[in-house]
Amino acid sequence: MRIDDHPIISFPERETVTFSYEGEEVEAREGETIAAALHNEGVVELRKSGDQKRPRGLFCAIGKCSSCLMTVDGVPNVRTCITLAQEGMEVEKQNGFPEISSDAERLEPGSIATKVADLLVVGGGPAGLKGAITAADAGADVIIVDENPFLGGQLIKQTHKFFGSSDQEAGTRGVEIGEELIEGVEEHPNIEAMKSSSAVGIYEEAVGIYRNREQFLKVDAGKTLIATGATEDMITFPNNDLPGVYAAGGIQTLMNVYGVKPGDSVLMVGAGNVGLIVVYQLLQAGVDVEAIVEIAPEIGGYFVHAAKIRRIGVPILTDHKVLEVEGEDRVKRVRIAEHDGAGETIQGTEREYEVDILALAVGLSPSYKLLHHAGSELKFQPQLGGYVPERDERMKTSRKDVYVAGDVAGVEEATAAMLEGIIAGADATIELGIGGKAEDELIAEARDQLKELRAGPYYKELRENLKEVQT
Amino acid sequence: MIKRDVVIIGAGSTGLAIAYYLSKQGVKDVTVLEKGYVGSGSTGRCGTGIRAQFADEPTIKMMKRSEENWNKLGEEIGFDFRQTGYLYLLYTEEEIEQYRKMKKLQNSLGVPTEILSPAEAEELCNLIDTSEVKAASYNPEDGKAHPFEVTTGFKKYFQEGEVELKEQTEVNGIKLENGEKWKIVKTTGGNYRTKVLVNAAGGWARNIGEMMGLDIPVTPYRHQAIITEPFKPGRVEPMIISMRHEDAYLTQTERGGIIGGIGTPEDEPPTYEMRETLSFEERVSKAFSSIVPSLKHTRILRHWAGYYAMSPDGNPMLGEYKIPDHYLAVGFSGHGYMMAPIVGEGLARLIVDRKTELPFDYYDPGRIDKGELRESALQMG
Repeated sequence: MRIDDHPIISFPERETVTFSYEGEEVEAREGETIAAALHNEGVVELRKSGDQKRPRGLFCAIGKCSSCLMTVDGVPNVRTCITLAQEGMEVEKQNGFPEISSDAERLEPGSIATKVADLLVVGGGPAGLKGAITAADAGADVIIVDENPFLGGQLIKQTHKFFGSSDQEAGTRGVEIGEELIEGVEEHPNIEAMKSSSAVGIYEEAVGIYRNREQFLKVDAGKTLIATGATEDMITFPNNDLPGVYAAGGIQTLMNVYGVKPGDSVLMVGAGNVGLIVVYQLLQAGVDVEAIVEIAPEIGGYFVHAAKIRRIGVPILTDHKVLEVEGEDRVKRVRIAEHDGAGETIQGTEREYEVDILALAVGLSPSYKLLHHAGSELKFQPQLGGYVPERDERMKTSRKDVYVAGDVAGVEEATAAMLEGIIAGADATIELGIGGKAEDELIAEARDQLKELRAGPYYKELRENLKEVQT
Repeated sequence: MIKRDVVIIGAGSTGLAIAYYLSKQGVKDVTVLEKGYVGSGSTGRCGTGIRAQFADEPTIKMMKRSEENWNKLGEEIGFDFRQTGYLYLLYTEEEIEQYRKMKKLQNSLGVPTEILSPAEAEELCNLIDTSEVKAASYNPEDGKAHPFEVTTGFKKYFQEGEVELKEQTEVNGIKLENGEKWKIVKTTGGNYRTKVLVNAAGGWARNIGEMMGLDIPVTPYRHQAIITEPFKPGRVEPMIISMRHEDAYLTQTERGGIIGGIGTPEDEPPTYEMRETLSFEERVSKAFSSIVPSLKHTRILRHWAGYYAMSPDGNPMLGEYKIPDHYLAVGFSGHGYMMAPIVGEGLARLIVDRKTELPFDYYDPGRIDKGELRESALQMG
């Protein structure tokens, strides 16, 4: 179902494209992914898993998990959450492990093209976009790649106003900051933006890029900035893989990017900032939210967010846990209970919710795999989300030509990501002999703002964890 | 000081198999020392293939027996030796002539190799592009085994038996005492005193030799391999080899991924470098999608490097070497995994009975010093 009336976002009219799903015609809007279009038509089961043949649907909606794999035009295992629907496409459901592609036309392999740049930025979220603009402003030639068909990362899904102690961007909505950054990148003469393009490996020789599912490219860049963000976490309970168990960010993507309603009624797990904000966004989009289930004894997110949710009347159940999800091929019911503080169910407190969506906002883990492949030293820092790279004060990793910024360097908020992007982008240009004094000043400014942003008792553990990875 | 009858350095397939067959022969005090974990050197990085299609008599004899042992071992320690055959695709008259000759020799030694028509090859795997294939050499007894099933199988077997397996234990010095009778092996996990010492250290064989003042001429060359995303299993059963396309080898695992690599090495000197290269990915993608065109859409899931621990003539160095009761099982030049079960049995015999009916004379390490190099064993796959 489409969201037609949204208080913050306007979804402009777009052309329709028609593709086939299991032989039936499906209408999609131009610029919409296969998975979003199918969800809009009520198709939530996208495949059966490999071994157990269990139903699987969307989860992350940004290409990071492999839940949404389908066969597209005879090619198996296509991530339909980041693949745009196109006129005449043939989409099929996979029943277990797929057959090797049916396309047996012989390919005459040519040589692989190499693109040269001063800076390659992997990831077009707040950190990557800021990094790209900063470096390009200094005069560097920049290529930015993102797996998604859109730039902006999670920023363009944030309908709320940003706050924080920094004056930078405070009071502005994430969507607006996102739009501004995207415009800055797309109109910049020194930046080439490649959407729907995956960086598949950081080699000594070059970075391998798989573009638009049809072209393999090598990018030979002086410096590489990894700004791949984070991946949403999963928790264990029976049937946690049923279609309808969605990551909170996946729901944001469906609603706020594609204007598709994720379902009719939602139970949210996790009362951190992500859980609270997505509940508010669900309400904005006209979706019922039954409750927020939080395993901890206290709400993790900011007080202002929680207060807003409570005012609307959505209960926040602390010290509660999910017992199981029920349903044959999609979520029908969720059973929860209060626990004794040690995780054991308190008998008699079990209750059921008839919902079609169970949203998980249970944490984020940095998407560190490319850094690991590059050979940058990683450290496990639970407060930063998991494995994060060691970096110097200018965001350079142990591999000297590789920089990091944003959630992949430790899960924080978009404001911190943008500041880190500025530092990394600026330092890359200085190291390349392109940037100079002005870039040094940008770095000093951004560092001051970061310090201010991370001040206060709320961020004590974050500061201590960051110290552990600072070289 | 820990006293043992036999100390084996290296818990790759070779060291593990030697320990296994020694224990079968009733040797009780056997220790295997491993600086990483079982199979962490070249075994766990191998292309999984096991074949008897070779060009020289000793290697064919060894591999015929090795395949018999692979079967028995699989049953005893619990892994699948899947005899799905090796299929060499032949494109020219010269190749066909060469493989016909090899088939004759192989047949005479009991290996049932056949020369197939392109249509017969297609029956074994209908995804192969046979448009330029003129014939194929196929031995149905060849096959593949998952190296991690094999190494963990050995490990479990040893846990219930008497062989001591010491992982994460690095050898950092060897001293000879009492006129070379006793070997004192210093490790990060204590010192061992043993009469019999076996060097099965694969790519690191030379380093171990240096600790005793020996120069063991084994040099590591990087070889890379890949595995793709999984598909419905059973579609690419044989190990397919193509000389036309960089001597590439590929097959499908039980789990469904396509595993393999290319035989022609990177143009580089010996190295301990284990990083993978983008140029290999380029080459392997071209080769695989030329052999099986529908793989052109396939994603590579993992890509890694291991070593071909090369001897000067490309053949193993097996047997006692320079110091009494000091044995080498090194220099397999890419064939260590497939040969391990017969090397293990043969070397155990040699240690216990001082003799074996296997052609170990051919592989005597002393040949290198005497300058009696053998013709290199067939390298592909």
